[in-house]
Amino acid sequence: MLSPYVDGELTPAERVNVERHLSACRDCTGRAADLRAESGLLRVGLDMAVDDVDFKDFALKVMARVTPEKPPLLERLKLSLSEMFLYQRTAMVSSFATAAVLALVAVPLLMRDRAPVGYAGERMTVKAIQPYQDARVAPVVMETDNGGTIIWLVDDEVQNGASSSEEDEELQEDVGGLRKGGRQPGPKPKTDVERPSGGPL
Amino acid sequence: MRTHVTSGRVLLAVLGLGLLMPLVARAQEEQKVRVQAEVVLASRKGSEVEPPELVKMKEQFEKQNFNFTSFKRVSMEVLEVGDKKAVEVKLPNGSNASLQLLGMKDGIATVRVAIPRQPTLDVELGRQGAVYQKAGKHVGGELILVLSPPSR
Repeated sequence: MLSPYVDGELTPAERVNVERHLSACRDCTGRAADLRAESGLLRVGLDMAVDDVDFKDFALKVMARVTPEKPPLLERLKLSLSEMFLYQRTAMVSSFATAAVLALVAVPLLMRDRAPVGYAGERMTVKAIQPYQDARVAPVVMETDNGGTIIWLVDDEVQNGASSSEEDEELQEDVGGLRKGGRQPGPKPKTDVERPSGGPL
Repeated sequence: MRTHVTSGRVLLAVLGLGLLMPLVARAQEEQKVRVQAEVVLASRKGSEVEPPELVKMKEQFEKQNFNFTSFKRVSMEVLEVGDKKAVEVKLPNGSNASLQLLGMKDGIATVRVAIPRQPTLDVELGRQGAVYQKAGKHVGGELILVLSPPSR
């Protein structure tokens, strides 16, 4: 009990008890004095020893030894995620739920309103027509009232052989379904037709 | 604490990369557009219109003085037309129509349509309308290739 008393480690009640005993016991008073002297000597000795030591970078050196080695990236990510879910679970769950709802609502809306790739134009348009090699007739281009375009080529052989009156009726059959009075192709024969391009046809 | 901040940044970087990588890969892919190609046999034999949706097409042809009475769908498919290789549509008369993407400008794709012994067309795709191109004869009628935007 004397050693803790000298070191000041006793509770106030214990301290009162010890002091009461010391006032009556010369033996213990002497031992307490010895202990105080020993403690003082020890402190002085330690202070002198400490003065000789260089404590520069002491904290850094200690921390360097205390900090563990850097774990692998995957482990750190796992740890980071698990900590995020552990400490910010509500925020994380609500964020994910909001993102999921947004995705579910926004994606179909965007997909519905967006034209497919390549369809930025208002309507299908024939920009250029190139007759096939050795073509003798030019194709007919007709525009329908619903924004469509009909490209029709009257058969070569019919055009070439359409000289006799006997074949006139057959011609009407063979021009590819065009009725008399329908728009007929341009001048025939056309062996060196330039390729039209650009602008509305 | 510092380790966790760094990990968070790495996590964000990984997520960012994960989002960007598919975009980069997509940009390097072949350009493709979807086109609906329908082959219709129009003839003056009978008055069948099959399927009934072709009634509109029949009306448009009548307005242009065509006297076809029967329209029958032979085939219909949605093609993925790319710029590297032509896509072919088989016609019942034995020949093939080929479609190839020529390019894309301001979001408008231009597709070249080539059919043997028929004019070659460069068609700009649009959200409305259709292009009807004669595609040759077949069993007493005329084959018509109909190009239109794919139905959603």
